[in-house]
Amino acid sequence: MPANAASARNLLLSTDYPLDKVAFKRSGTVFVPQATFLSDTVTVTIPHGLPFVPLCIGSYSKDGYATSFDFGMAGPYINTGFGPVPSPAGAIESDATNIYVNLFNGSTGTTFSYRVTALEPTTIPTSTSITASPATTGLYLDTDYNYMKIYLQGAVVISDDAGFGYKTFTIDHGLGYIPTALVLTEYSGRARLCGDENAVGAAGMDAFYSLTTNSLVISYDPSSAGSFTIHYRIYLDD
Amino acid sequence: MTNIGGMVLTTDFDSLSNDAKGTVTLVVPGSDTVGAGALKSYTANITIGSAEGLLNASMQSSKKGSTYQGLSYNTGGSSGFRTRNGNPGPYDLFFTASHVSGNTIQVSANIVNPYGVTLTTEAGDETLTFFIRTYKQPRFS
Repeated sequence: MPANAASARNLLLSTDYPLDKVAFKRSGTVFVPQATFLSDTVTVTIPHGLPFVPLCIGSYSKDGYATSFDFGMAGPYINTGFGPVPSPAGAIESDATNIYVNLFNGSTGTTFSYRVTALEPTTIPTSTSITASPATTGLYLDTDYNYMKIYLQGAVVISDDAGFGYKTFTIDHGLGYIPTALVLTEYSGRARLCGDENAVGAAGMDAFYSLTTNSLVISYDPSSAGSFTIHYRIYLDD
Repeated sequence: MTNIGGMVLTTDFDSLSNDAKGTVTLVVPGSDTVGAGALKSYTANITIGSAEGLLNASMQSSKKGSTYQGLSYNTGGSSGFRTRNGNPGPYDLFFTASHVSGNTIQVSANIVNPYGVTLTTEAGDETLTFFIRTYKQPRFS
């Protein structure tokens, strides 16, 4: 029986559509002083011990999670000594060895909290095994929760001559509604959330993505010629 | 060691689960002034989902058709027309979304005037629709 996306969309989970797997996670705190320059970021380096470059998401906070900000999105703009900038700001990157949490603080120095979730990429061989962390409480799969079901996923290698202007890459999903998407770029060995490429200590190419009811379009502009990878996940969930 | 590659479902690894979704709109007025070197922010709030949840946000502009742009650190858009000292030109809007308290999420559109004179927006009202989804953090304890 072929998979039915329309009905699976209303299911908590379905064996026809994979779930993300959290290969690694870490939480912690770090003191981030008030920045003197826009380039003043604090980097937390976290060895992940995985046999691949994980795809990282997560969040951070200045006040023990009374308020919180997601990596990949900017915090509120505030006035600083060097003009209005998003603050706080955070970016997350990963390579074959480490995860890098980059944090910027335009206000009085304080201790930040962060939570990092590292997902397995599509590119790993089916035989890839890692050490699993048992759930300390409850179950990893629980029918009380509605899981995010991956409809389409992939990793596309793109060669670009770094010519002037943005180019686009389109993935047709054909779902007929605006789905949830997760997009990362992997450039010079580092993976980072799309749109974060030149933010808060992360360096590389410029990219952003947009969605229609039938397509995911990634726009990119690398600063130097070469190849990079787009990792994408389009979920059934809207 | 546990297989993680090629698995559709596995009880050995945590995953991401849906929490809530909703839309919130805000309007950027078509004739507004931003002082020299100043910031003008327009905000709107939506209360959904769980506190400390993860966000996935996209945004659609009334001036740019039905495409939703995924929100990122660098999400910005030149949006119309402004005058500065009587001279026309484009201006940029930058967009943010974050949890401001509990399960209240604030979205914002921001105009930064980098010039030493007042900037006046003149391109008509722009309605921004933010499509907000939250999902539950994997457990960290």
